Amino acid sequence: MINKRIEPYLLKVQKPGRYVGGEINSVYKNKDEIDVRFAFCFPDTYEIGMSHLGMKILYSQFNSFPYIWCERVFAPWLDMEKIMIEKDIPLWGLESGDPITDFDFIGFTLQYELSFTNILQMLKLAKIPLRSCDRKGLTQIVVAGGPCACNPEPIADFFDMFFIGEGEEVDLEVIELFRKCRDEGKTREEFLQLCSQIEGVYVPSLYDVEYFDDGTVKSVTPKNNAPKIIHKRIIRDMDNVFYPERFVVPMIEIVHDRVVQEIFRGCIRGCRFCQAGFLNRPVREKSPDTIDKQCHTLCKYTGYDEISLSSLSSSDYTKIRELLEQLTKWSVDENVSLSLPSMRVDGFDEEILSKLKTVRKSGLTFAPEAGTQRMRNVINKNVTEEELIQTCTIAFKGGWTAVKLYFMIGLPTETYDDVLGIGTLAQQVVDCYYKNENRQKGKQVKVTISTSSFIPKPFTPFQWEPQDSIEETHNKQMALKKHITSRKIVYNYHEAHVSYLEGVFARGDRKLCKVIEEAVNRGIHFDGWDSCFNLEKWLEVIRDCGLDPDFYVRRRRGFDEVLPWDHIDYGVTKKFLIQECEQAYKNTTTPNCREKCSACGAAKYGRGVCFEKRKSMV
Amino acid sequence: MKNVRVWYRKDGACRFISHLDINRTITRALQMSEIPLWHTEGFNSRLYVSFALPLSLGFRGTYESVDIRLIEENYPYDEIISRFNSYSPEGLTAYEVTEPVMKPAAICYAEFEIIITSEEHTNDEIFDYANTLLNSEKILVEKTTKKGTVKQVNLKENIVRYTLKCTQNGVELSIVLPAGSVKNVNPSLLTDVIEKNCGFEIFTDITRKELYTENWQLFR
Repeated sequence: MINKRIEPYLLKVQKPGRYVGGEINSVYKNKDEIDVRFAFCFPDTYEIGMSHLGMKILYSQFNSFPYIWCERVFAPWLDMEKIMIEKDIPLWGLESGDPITDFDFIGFTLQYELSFTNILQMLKLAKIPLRSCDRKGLTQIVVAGGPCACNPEPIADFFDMFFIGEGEEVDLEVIELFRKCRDEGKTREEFLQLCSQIEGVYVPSLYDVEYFDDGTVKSVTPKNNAPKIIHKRIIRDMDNVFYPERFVVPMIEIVHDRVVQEIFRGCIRGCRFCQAGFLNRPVREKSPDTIDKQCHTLCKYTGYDEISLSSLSSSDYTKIRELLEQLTKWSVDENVSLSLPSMRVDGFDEEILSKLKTVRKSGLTFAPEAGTQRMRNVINKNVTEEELIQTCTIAFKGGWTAVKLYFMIGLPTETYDDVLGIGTLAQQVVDCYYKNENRQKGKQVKVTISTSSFIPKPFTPFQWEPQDSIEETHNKQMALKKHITSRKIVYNYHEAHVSYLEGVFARGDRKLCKVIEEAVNRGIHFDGWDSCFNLEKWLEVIRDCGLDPDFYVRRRRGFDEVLPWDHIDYGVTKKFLIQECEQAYKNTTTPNCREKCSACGAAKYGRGVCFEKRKSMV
Repeated sequence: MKNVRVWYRKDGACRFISHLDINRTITRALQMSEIPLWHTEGFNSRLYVSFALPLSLGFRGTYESVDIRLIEENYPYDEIISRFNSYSPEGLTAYEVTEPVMKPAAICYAEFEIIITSEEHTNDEIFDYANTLLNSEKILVEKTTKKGTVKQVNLKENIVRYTLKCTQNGVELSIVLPAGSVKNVNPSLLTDVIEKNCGFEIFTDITRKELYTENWQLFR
């Protein structure tokens, strides 16, 4: 149902299709039969939010219960927002068109730090009090989950609870508890306290944080029986976990407009910069049968003709050949193409390649991450130059003429040799194209290299490291740019300013809550968008709040310092992270989970790769 | 193999999506419908669909059509209609299937119904402004061509016929304009000048009602 108040204005904004709902497979229910109304909010535009797999899963799962109605809510773009404010129209759910102000749950997914301001902006537009202490009664429970919930401290004051880890089970437990508490007439405070007893639920208001004079955390003290450490939740059986049979099929083009099929969670590799790799341990796979069935069903009910097999490192799926074999049995006849993002340089061969191009040829992207072997050893990206060249040779033989390579700059212990090594490596890929006798005649090779700036993230072995300054990042980017002479190489880099701000929040503490609130009050949001981002304004806000951004970004933390997220547990022990950090300094790599267990701590979940038979054991 | 023309209405939420998006949405609906349809045989094979005349974002349409190619020549038309409707979003409704009589290139004129309203001004006021404009000798508007150059067009000489009424719902303008691949005039060019003439914000609700050939036959 289109919100009646907004309908007349829809033709005054860009892409009105963002605001109307009504897509195939969106869920409509009779309000009178609903017990719990859940607003699933994605703090960015429709096109971005609709591409997010987590939302698709939870939307379908919630709506599979007759008494829950979960609706989608996205951040309105600036033109629409202006009209909403002028005409006093509160933020609404796409399905019912109703304002979400009085919904029982307002849930956000935390995908990236730069969306924090959008969360507050959305609450404001929904006329919901920003701070959890200002919300009363058993309604407007504001919750969040997703990767950035691993350090939710910079937004702790605004949320009633965070879900730590994977959400499929814990969300429902909280909703059930909510229904029970409402029936029994319990207060909001009683409800939140009971929630804190559920594993994987973090109720920030039940923790007092004290600081030393230098601004570092002195202690985090739970009260009212809340647990001292909050342990993440994980799904143990991937073949029986809920997966949607239908995706909402958007009517306007979105970023990832295809079937996305999860093939496993976690990653065996342990690249030391990669937060997702540590947060999602241990690796748990879905069986080829389950994947095959789910893909086929999704294609049938969505009309999509493209499937993306999603994971952190697709070529590490143990039964990849078997799976592709099974999928191509029907996908070719039904004109459905397959793509495998996140391929590793060393997990690539002609057989996989031939399956992927059965219907359509997609681009090839690899992430060597660093330009020299030493640097790759430091970050534990166990990929060699030879492997990259070999892989590119296969790709060029297979008819590809363009590859994309992803790198990071600003990694710990990095020198200018390492930075320039990125350009040298790209040149070698170009050379390898011309060595290939079977290359397509008359076609030029194009090697696109992209560098992002390294941002140390919580729960990684680099969580103690200082981040490069904006100036240093810029110098490195320029040095690399100068080093590249071939016109067959295209160099793209991320704006250093954006990474700097992201660095502030990634390892921030609760003192930043007032900064974010103040920023939103001054009209700052959509920081993930170049057209909106303004570092100068941000620095002014941070200074006005009496804080120093370099304290969060540029400072090296000691191993003994209490980190703002130390009371949250993702299974990997701090001892292991310290050990990994020390290995990095020695340019030493750590074997992956399938080669050898390094005792990170994730085995305590009793499932996944930790209990697979390793070759060395057979 | 047999080409058929599916006639549908565009309304509701689908009113707010562009022609490209309609194309994608209908393709997916047909993909799901399992109607035995022909796919193109090029390097990137895709479902064959061909639209008579694109409809702008924001417009409703009651006389829209898309051509598809059936592999089974005897496939029942009512089955096409019911499958199309069960797999397309609300707002896209098929109501008839016919064999194509004319080529889309035969389209020459389109009839629109436009309802104009305002938040703060009366319908009489809008009527006066619109009426004066439509009665003037020339209605000059700037039109950006495909090449990006701006040229001046006299809308007045393009208006085939019109009626203007003031009703309770707003000012109703029924108008016939050139349409099709040779010459096409978008009615929003006209409503934009009306708004400029009024000097206040207006709201327009535009429906494309019918399509005609050069000698005023209904497009079939």
